[in-house]
Amino acid sequence: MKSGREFEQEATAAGQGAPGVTRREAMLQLLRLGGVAACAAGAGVWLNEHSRRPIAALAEQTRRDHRVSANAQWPPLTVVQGAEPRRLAMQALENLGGMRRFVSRQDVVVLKPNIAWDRTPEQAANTNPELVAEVVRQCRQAGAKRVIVTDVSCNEPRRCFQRSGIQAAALAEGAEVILPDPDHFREVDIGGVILKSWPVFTPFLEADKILNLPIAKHHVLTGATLGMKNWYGILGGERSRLHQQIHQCLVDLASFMLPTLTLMDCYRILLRNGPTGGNLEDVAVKKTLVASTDPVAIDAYAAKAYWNLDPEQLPYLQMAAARGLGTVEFEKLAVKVN
Amino acid sequence: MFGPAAWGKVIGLFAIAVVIAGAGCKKKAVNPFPASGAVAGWEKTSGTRVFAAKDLWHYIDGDAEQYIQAGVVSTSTSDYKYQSQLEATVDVYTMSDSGGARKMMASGQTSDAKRVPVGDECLAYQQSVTFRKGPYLVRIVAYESGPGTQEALLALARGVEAKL
Repeated sequence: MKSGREFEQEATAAGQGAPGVTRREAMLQLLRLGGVAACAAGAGVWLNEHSRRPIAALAEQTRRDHRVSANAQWPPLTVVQGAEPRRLAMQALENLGGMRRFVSRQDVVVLKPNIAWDRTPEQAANTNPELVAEVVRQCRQAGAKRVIVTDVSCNEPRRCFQRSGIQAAALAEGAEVILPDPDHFREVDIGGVILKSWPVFTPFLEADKILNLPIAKHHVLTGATLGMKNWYGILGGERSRLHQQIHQCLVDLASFMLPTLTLMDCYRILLRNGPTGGNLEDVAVKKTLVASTDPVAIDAYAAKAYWNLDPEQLPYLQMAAARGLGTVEFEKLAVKVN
Repeated sequence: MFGPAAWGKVIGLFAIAVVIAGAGCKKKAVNPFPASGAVAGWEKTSGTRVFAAKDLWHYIDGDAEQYIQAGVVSTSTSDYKYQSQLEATVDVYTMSDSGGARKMMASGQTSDAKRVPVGDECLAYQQSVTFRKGPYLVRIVAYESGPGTQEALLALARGVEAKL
């Protein structure tokens, strides 16, 4: 007569179709597997907590500060004149310490040109494509993992990216060109006086460094559209509301998005009928680039240089300075001019 | 006096008169865009998009504000191509009155403009033409300029003006 244990062994073997695996051994194997799984889960939690990417929930409430440390060796503002856009960009970056001062290896860099309008480069409503191309090239040379070029256009985006020449120029230098996609906006707490929660295009929320590449233009509402106004192009939603208390909205946005560097395209300036433009007679060729780590100073400089506008005539400048975002007294800064 | 039949005829005639008067008063919807070939060399290359004043920002974003302040009612736009090469966009702003059209025309004028007899007032630039006629403000902007650009744009402008 068989013992209970013998019956158990036979039943186990018959049920599993494998000879000699007892219940005890199966339990031990399960325990070993469980132990391995627990260790893996623990490692995952530890890695997640020590990851350098911010946790999603916190990111949505945090201002985007992409600035690098000030360095007394390099001026905070530079003006370069009298050359073609690529040469202007090379010189301006050299004057400020080189692209490697701003972009580190493996950085995800987002470039924010003005690609708002269905206009050609000659009509000076968008950033010069050659400037964008040179900045892409320099970012890649500095070791950036990804260089993204994007904007939330006002006119139909495909036409804007194509007619401006920016898509082709950026792709030729190896950038990723991302057109605005209605499915890729995220509601973010801007933390402003007027601007509270607003949809932001996600590439701007996931960058290590952001370079602002505005073009200096006349604007019918503010007098001029410069660096800080360029941040409207990170937003979705009903942007018409942002033009009603425009100066406060500009400051709210500028407080939320602090760029690594601003390179202001002044190669061609739209002097009148901005921001849309269209008439070549409204465009002056200045062959200039202004670059700065101070987003207030660069706007104050360009407003004075091209429209003779003082900070008192542009309330957003004084409001931004009062918030500690920079200085309107650009003439007191160390400025390098070539 | 009048019997019921006579009164019935009077009322019927009155009703017909009211309908005719109403039809005469009703404004015809204006289509300002010439069809392909209606203006020599010009082809209409897109459908017509129409924006009510409150939606104009979808088309021109912050630039809409100045038109709204000047009393824009609606905006229509369409694309054209001249001799399969020169592309241009025609924007027709319907203002609440001719004063609004005049105001928009006056803003941003420069001395470089050439005055041309189209509509109530017309300014021609190298690469664009702007004119007004009654409450309509029309802006035609090309994407390149060459020797015949201004002439071609003026021909298209006259084609649009004839339909207003």
